[in-house]
Amino acid sequence: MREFKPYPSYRVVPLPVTHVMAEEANGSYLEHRRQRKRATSGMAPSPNIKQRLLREAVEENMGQRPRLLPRPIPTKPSFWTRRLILTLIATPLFALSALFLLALYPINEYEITQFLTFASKVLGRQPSDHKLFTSNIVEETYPVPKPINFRVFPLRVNKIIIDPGHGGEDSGAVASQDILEKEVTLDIGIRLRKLLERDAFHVLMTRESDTTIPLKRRVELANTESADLFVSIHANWFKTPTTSGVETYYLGPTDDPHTIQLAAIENKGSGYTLGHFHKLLENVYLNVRRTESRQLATSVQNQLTKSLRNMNPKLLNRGVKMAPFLVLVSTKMPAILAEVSFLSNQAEARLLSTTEYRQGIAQALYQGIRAYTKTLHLTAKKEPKL
Amino acid sequence: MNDTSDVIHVGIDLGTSRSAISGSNSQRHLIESYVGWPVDMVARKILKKDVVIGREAIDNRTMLDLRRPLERGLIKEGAEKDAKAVRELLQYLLSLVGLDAKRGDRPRIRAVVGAPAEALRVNKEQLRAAMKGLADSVMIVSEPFAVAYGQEALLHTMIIDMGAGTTDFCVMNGHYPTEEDQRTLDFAGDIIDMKLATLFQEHNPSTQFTVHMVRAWKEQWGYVGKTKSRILVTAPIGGNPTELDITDEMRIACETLVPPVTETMLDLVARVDPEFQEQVRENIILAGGCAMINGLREALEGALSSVGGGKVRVVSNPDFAGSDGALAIALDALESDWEILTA
Repeated sequence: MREFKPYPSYRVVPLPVTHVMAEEANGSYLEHRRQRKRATSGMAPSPNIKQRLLREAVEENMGQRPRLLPRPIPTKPSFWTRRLILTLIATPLFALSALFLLALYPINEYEITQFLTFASKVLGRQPSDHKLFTSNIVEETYPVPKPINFRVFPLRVNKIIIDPGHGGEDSGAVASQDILEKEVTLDIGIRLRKLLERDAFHVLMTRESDTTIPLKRRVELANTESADLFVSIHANWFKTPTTSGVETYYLGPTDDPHTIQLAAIENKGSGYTLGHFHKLLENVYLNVRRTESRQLATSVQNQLTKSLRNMNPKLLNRGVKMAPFLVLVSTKMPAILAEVSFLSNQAEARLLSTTEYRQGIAQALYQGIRAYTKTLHLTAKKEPKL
Repeated sequence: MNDTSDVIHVGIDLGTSRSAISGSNSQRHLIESYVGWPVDMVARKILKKDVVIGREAIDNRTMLDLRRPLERGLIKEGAEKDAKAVRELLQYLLSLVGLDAKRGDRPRIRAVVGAPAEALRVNKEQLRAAMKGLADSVMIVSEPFAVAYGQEALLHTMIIDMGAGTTDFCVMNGHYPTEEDQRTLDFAGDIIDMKLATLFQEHNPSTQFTVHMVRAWKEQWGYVGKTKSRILVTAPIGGNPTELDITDEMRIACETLVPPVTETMLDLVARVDPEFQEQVRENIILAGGCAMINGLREALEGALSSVGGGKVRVVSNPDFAGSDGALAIALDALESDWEILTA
């Protein structure tokens, strides 16, 4: 047996003299902690509350233990022999059937991950259910065929859809200075169109005036026109007035409560029914579109942050995020949604009301799109890897 | 100092960047959550060890297969070496408080281990499996709950435990926190490190630096809001040590944490029973390594001012708040509870 040699400590923190952990008995440690009342803490908990909490903590731990104990080895060999034979016969048959089904209906890595996450969450939601047999969920990963690198095909961006958010009856967010989101997004959208058209891009807008256009129609326009990129412009709003910054979204799932709330608000009045939604989700996670959307979002976010900091030095870069906005779900081309500053933040709202800031945003969006399209052209110049 | 009594209680806070242990034998230690194995015979000869842990592992990383086995506060899934690394880490932590898990005549070890607030059941089982054989009885509790228990802030309070991998929120309402009372964010110290490294790289493209240097700068000078002096660090450019000003980069990097933390904090406050919301707002407790960022407490209080004001305080020993709290739970648990929880 290897003799134990204690490792040298990295850092021994000397305990403060008043810390009663130097005392010998557990009871005195507890007593000292009770006496050492913290003036700014919540109501001093009664012993009953502590005991109840302990009970609940223990019960929660008990609920996590495997319910079934290992079974004893059976004394009747014939029963196990029969089981073994059946298993030996059934396993290859099952494996063959599974392979056949997978060949017919291939599941991609994302679906496997989603299923495992869902299964884990279901198990996790029932901590006190003693009937559940818990075991480590082992992720079986199979080699997924690598997708074709989109960049092998030297394709250009020709047609861009600009989607100024909201409009008409839907004013979007409203700042305290009566600045409407729909006006801000339309103004920025028109400015962006001018910049892109100057560069020979073919630009279409989902709306060019203060009209109500449901999300479904915006998406239909983009898909019908076979656009190459979809850029949706919004102004952000949050209940905390100090929240500020710019963020750019592309399609993907999220757990962030703010993003979920934002997506729910922006997806209101979509025009889609439940029946439509199934079809929409069929092709949602095509890897190529997501990859390109992410790259476009990153390029735009970088430019937004870099350019707008000249006018707003305190601008916060809230980063590139994923969210299930309907306009991102339903479009068939790389798509992003840019939240260009917060209307709920007084300082940013004031800036958004100025033409200079709006022009700056349009300029930044244009430069972000240009930077993204340049990467496509750069790739086209190199030898494609096959 | 080894305890000669029959039972030793320990509280363990396994963190992505640092892990802490507090023992009932009046010892507590904090180490970096890094484990390394010598890459070859030469390295083994130099280090004279089969496995190296903590700061020593970081300092000798060129000779080691270095692992940081915890991600977002939980055991990384997939690599067997990461699971082994966690066991080495736990064994080392226990040895620091004088406990050799492998000795037959050792005292009984009863451990309470903190896990992130939204840890899935399977992750808690992995933790329990990692502790098997090292401790006689194990209880896994949510980390912010452990902090709350240790601070005796169990009623109408909110704990925000800001570590490296995760920021955990827990509203204490006098009962064991449910899923609705807890939240785990991936925005934490590591995100600040990445952001600071990115900004530093952008503004000083030819500077040579490592993530450990960036982390050290953040821990020493991290701030949000205003600072009274510039932050100057030294890093080599082409091998030539050069003084660089990272004041703005530090502020921007640290401030990336503020929006998500603020939003989650306010969201949780809004979900509290309206009768007790003011009490919760007045009793928000910050723990964890990131709690020591200058100005963060004031920034959170500033956010609370928009919803009627509030008070945020930082625990006196943020690094040990989790392990001390876990120890308090271990000491308060009854004998019969430990019998049931035998590993």
